[in-house]
Amino acid sequence: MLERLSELKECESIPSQNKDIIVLITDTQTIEAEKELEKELEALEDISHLSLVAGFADEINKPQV
Amino acid sequence: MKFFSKAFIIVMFLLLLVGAGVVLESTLKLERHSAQLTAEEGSMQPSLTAQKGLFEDAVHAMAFSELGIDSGYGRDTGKYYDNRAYYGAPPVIPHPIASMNTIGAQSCLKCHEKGGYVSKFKAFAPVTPHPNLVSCVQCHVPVNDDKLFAESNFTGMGKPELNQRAMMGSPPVIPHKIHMRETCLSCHSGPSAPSAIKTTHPERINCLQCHAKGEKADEIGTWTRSVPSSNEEGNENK
Amino acid sequence: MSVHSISRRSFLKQMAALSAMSAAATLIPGILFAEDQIDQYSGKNLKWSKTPCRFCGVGCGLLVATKNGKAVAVKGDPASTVNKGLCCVKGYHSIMSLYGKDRLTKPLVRRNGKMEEVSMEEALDIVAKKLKETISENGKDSVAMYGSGQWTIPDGYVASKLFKGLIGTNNVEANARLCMASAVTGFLTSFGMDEPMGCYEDIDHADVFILWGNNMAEMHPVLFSRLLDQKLNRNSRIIDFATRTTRTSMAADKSILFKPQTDLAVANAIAHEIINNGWVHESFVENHVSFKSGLTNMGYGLEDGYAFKDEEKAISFEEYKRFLKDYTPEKVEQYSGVSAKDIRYMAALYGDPNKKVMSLWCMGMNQHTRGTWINNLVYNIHLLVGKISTPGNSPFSLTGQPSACGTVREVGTLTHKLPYGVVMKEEHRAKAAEIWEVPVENIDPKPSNHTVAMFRAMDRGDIKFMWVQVTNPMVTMPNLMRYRNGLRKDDRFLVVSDIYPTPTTDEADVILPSAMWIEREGMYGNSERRTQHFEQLVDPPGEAMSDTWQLIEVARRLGYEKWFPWSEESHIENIWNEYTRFHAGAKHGMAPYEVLKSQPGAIWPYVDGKSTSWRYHAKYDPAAEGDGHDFYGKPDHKAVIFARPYEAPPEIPDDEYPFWLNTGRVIEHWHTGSMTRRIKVLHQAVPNSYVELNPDDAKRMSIRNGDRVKISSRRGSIEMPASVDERGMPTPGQVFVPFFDEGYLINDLTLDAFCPISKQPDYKKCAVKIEKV
Repeated sequence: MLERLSELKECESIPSQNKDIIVLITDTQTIEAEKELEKELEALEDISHLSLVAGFADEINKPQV
Repeated sequence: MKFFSKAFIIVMFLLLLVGAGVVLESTLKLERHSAQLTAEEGSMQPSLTAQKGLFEDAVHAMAFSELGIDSGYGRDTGKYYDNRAYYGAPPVIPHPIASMNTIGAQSCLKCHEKGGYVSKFKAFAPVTPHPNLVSCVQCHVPVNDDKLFAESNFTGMGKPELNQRAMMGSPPVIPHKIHMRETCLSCHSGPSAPSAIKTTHPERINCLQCHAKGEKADEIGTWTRSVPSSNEEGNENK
Repeated sequence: MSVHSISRRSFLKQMAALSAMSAAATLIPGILFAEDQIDQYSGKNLKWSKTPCRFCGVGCGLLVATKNGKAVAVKGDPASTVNKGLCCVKGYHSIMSLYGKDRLTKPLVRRNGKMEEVSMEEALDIVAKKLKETISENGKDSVAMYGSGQWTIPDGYVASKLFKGLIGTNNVEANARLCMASAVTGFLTSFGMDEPMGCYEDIDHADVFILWGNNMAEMHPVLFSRLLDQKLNRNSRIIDFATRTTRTSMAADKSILFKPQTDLAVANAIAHEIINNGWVHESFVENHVSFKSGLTNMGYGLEDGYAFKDEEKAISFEEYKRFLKDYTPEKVEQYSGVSAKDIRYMAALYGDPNKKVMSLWCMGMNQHTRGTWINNLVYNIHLLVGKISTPGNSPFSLTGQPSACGTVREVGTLTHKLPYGVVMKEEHRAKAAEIWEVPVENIDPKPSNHTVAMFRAMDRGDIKFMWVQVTNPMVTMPNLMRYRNGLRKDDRFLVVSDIYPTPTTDEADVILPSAMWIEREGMYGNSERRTQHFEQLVDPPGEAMSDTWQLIEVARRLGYEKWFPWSEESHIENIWNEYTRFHAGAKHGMAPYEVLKSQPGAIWPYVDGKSTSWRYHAKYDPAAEGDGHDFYGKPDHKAVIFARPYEAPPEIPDDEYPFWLNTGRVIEHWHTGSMTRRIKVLHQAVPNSYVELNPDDAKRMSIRNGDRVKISSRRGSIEMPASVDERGMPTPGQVFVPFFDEGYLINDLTLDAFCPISKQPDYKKCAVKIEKV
């Protein structure tokens, strides 16, 4: 699965060394691209749980949740 | 009529007395509790607060982390500084409070000693880094007016730069004074911590083991050795 | 302080990563992420190499990143079981100590009162010539070598071979005499062999940690964090038994203060309670312990020519019990400042058969005029209850320097020692002669001068040439003024190998610039018998040369090329292979060179490819016989319980000098500060020394924090700033001064009294007065 994630252009992953957790940093240019990416990630079967921990917006003033 | 109103008044007084008794009781309980917290502070006894703060309530402090994650992203440093007139100022009280005639233990510390989610304000209560000082409203005041009396030219001291590390990967130095900020974890862990300064390792507790004090960095500069002029006796007096 | 110039976007990504990892750590405690994943964001590809830390005796494993020939970053080595990726503030900034602007890069020679630059070749010629001349004019014992617990193992080995095996003098000493000698004699008298029987893993098993006079939170911080971990996760208890309130006291579950020197009495009182309450492990004592007493009223070594040799006498268990009658808790309470209740509390912790107890100590017990005794007495406690040599039950003597164990104690760079055994024993000299390939007559069978005696001899003129490497005696010798004046006398020649100018290089006739730490290949041995290897990671600056190679070059100039034939490329490996022959066997075998290179160290005895974590117990130690404990260091295979009494220190506060002076350290600075003060972060955290006063004493004398005060002893005085209620709090009638600041030479005030058995001076107790300036 790590391979598939590393294929996705906007993703960088930091796997944990001792637990089945991956920190995934996504970097998208637009909100639409982000939503697309979210759909793609949810489609991955191996991911049992996906939770957004922090979001930062570069251009817009308000952070997205 | 007279009898009835008398009885009514007596009943009212009784109720008031009972009420007062209850309040008094719980006040005493809270006082005792806060006295335990500040047992050695009581009469402003000096007691290595900077060293103690690291470890005191370490178990409590771990609980901050367990309070949950602020999915609303929580405070950022912008919001943090909004409450302060200048860097280093005591924050104003951004929410309405019932009364200014309180001692912290009875009121403020109920939320601000251990933190927690307050649904009324839809926020996680920030935790005080100096729970030993209980006269909160001595320094922290509410905002009762949104207009100015007169304009001012005051600009405060600049905010410290975040992430001041000697090298890549070094533990950042502490850019602020430690005085009154002895319990590190209250600001650097938990859901109310400004996310830019949240630590990845609250369980290590002994923060001063790796993070050096750096608030006087510019004042102190670097050390240059002064070669002593030849001494006969040798007392290296300064 | 420079922050990487990274784009805002990268910064945000870093923040996101950190937030996510923090959240993960909250949900799933113990989760680990490879930290170097973050480095990707700064876009660098760095080479990380392992090394033990340059600083304290914990011996943390570090990873150092080099780029373009410079060390640029450092982090804890997650693969090291010592620190598991954590360091302390010194370790995290350690590599910065290589780059101080006034680093010594060229040799300097004193000519007509001025220091002139010369080439390394010429400087080494001068050293060798002077050495030769001094020996031929005044005999071999007129020259001396003073090394260090920060010497790498090869440094010490070459020094020992040159001076003891070839020149033939026992004037070889090291600064570890000033920090660990009492620990050594404690081990030798109680167990017959040096160094702890346990290891750091004991921390993971112990239920109770009792600290005897050491501020572990600042002095062995990474190990202390392991204690805190156990406190958090297993509810282990930490008891701080000390003469001063420190950061450690704040972290501990209980802080018990005692009056200086009365640790002797309290230890005996604890033993008394254990016996009184029937907590003695009868079968253990019966099978594995013998009882002895020694001489008392030994003096304090204050006179030149002071000599002392202990006489051990066997006694019975009954006699020992009778001896302890003077040490009931009620009696000891009278003069120790420790309540009988607290003594019983500590005794109960030791005596509880269901609690594993680890005792930890360092300078408080070793820098002590009865240092050997107090080491014996803590071993007594563990021996009475049989809590020793099994996981979690551990009297653990912590070492201060990174290689006091590895070099000074194991190589034996002390006047009476050889790499195996002592000069006094014929079979030990024979072994050295065989491995060194020298005639056995070369090795002098008589110990000559321990450190204090060596500097006294230099003062008197019996020693005329001294070579100092990796240490700063002009800041650290007790009663410093005498020894500074001694070195300055005519007809004394001082060679100093160092990396920065110090008060010791100020007195030198020849200064040799040394390569430091990762600028050369080497090995260190830490407190838990772990030997760690490090490669050369960067080049030394200018003409700086490793201490090992300096010694080899001088040895060759003296005509000893045949004994130091190795090439620069392989000499460290060659030296290791020759040295380890001394220790071959199940009791002290050392790991092979390739093993040390490939992993974060190995613990000796290294037998059949495995480190030995616990010694003296057959379950863990291949050298032990039988199926339980076996104290094979002693001929009868029994450890010794010593009846050692309380004896007062030589100089006690009186009307004229009413305060105790205690000296020590802070976490930010190493020893005399020559490295750490040149690291900006550390200097700015603690820029200068100070005298710590008790707040009530300060108030009474109208002294406030920062006020200038004059502190004086019978030997000297200094003016320095006062510190009240900052880092530590002495008890009333006591002051504390850290010694890292060469601008405040506190050792001008201290007393050069020492433990008669170990010859280690007591830096923790003398009498001073305080005056407001």
